[in-house]
Amino acid sequence: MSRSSPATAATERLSLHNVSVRFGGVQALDQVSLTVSDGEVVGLIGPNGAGKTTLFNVVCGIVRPTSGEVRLGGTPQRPVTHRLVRDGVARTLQGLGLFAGLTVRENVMAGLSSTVPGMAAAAIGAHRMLRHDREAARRAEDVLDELGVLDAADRRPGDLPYPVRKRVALARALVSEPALLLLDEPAGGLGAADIADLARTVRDLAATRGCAILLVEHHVDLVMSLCDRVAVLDFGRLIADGAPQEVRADPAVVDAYLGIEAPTAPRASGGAA
Amino acid sequence: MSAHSRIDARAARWRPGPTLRRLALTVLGLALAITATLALEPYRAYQAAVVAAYLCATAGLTLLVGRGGQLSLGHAALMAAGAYGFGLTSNALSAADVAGPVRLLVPLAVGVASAAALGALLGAAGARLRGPYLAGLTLAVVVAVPAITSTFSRTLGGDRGLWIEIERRPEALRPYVGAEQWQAWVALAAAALVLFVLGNVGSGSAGRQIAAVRDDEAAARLAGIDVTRVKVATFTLSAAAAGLGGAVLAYVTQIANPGAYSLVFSLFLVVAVVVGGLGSLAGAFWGALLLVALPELTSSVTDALPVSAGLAQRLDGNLAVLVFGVLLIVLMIAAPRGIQGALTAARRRDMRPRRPARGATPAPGPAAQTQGDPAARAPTAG
Repeated sequence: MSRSSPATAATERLSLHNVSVRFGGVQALDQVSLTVSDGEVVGLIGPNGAGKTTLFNVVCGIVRPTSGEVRLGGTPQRPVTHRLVRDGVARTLQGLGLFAGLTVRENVMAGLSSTVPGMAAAAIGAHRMLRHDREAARRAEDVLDELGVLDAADRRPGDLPYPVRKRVALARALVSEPALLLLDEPAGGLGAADIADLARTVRDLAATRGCAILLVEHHVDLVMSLCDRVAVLDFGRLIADGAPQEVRADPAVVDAYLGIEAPTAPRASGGAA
Repeated sequence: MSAHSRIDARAARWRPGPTLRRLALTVLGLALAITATLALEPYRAYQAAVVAAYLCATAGLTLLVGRGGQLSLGHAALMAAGAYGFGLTSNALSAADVAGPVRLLVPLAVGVASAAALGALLGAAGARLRGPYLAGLTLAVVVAVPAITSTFSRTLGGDRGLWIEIERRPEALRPYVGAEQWQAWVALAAAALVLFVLGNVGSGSAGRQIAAVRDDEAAARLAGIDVTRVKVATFTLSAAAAGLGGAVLAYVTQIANPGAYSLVFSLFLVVAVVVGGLGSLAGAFWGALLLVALPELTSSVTDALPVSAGLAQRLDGNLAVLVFGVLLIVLMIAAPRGIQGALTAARRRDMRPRRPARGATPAPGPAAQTQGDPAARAPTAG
């Protein structure tokens, strides 16, 4: 069942309230407040070292905020990384983090790990373990098919070209049908055709499944065309948060970021991020 | 972009390893092995029992090192925990005049539990220590075995070891089955249990999680895997298997002594699983076989050599080490995936001409029929 207009429902999926992170003498995040609602695509941009990845890490429980609060679905959280999937959060990694020793199908099945029965069930080969595996394999194949890489299901990630691996990593995040999806440089290293596919997938997820999506991306054109809202970080502070056109025109943003990378020049394809 | 029509036929048939089939295979294999021991001379039956006991340990080790990527150089210490746990319990039960199957099964269970407890501790440390540091810790544990046995020499028998009063074969079997045959049966049953359990773990989601943790911990966590729990569980399971191996060895040899679980033996276990084929249970079998066969082969070689008795004796102890080392080097060059890897590759080469080309048979994938939400796949305008 898909919502006809998820944007109007606007349930707050993720919100950060005055989140600060300090590493020694470095203020990585400074009083950052940000919300992402169901069905909304929010782009997070900023120069290198602005704190984008730190913000992701706070949401994922990899970095503890020095102060401030993270809420998921309205309830305050102390996120624990391996419980995120169960809480409906999935994230892709900049380095993909695919499991080299597993096939593509198994990599995607691993995205459903939060529902795997325990080691005792595994040891006796319990029926519910086998049922879980069958179900996980089916769901993994569905997602791989949606992303057009089902052909690669039995291959190892290392044997595949970078754009395909990138789709596999996305499939692993999507297989748990997250309510909140965090994408770390999803377009990095992709060519124009793959970026167009990616944009279509992301829009589709937000529009038909009401998935809340927060993405960190350097490809400014993609961010501006794809996102409902764009947030800009600079030296750990949120310097802008609004519609793409507003943000693009904001002098502070141009100063901090957009001026550096010519936004009109399409980025060359190829080359791993 | 849809790949329904091109889905690999193999993928459409893919199923996780069904437990019942594995159980049937295990029972059948055990029955065959038990029958085969009847044809063996007592000494060969004893050797079969030792191979089966070692197989418990190598199977556990190959799961930990091959799948889990956690190097343990201390599996001999875990076997020792199993052996002493078995011995002390068996002696205590004997002193209390307990006899019957209880005097065999309870000590075995205690042996497994002791090793598992030690393994859980090592696993908890392993969740914090990486690579060489974990290996160093496990090394320290195996080095400590003789010190522990001599410190508590009153209970553990010191360097000479702990003599164990065991439950012998049932009265009814005595006219037909030799002592060594019976020991082999017990050992083979234990090995079958280990292979069944580890086979189950390795083939399903649990095995996938273990490998995922090995490949990328951060990504594994984000995928919902409790990395610490998986590491501790893997180490505990591996230790329990090694403990059963040690307990069975104690039953077969009727002694638990520190010399049998030395650092050298611990390293041999690692070399055995690498030579056999890391991560595969069949490889663990080749490794266990080598552990028993190599010293025997080298001693028959030294017997045949025209050298003095003194030199032959010195060679006897050391030649096996040398041969093992050389074998490791040669195999790593010739067959980096070990014996089992080489066998699998050879079989694949044999099969290739007969198999139809990959993807030649178009088969609709299961995904095609079971697609849940068609709206989710509908393309949206940009």
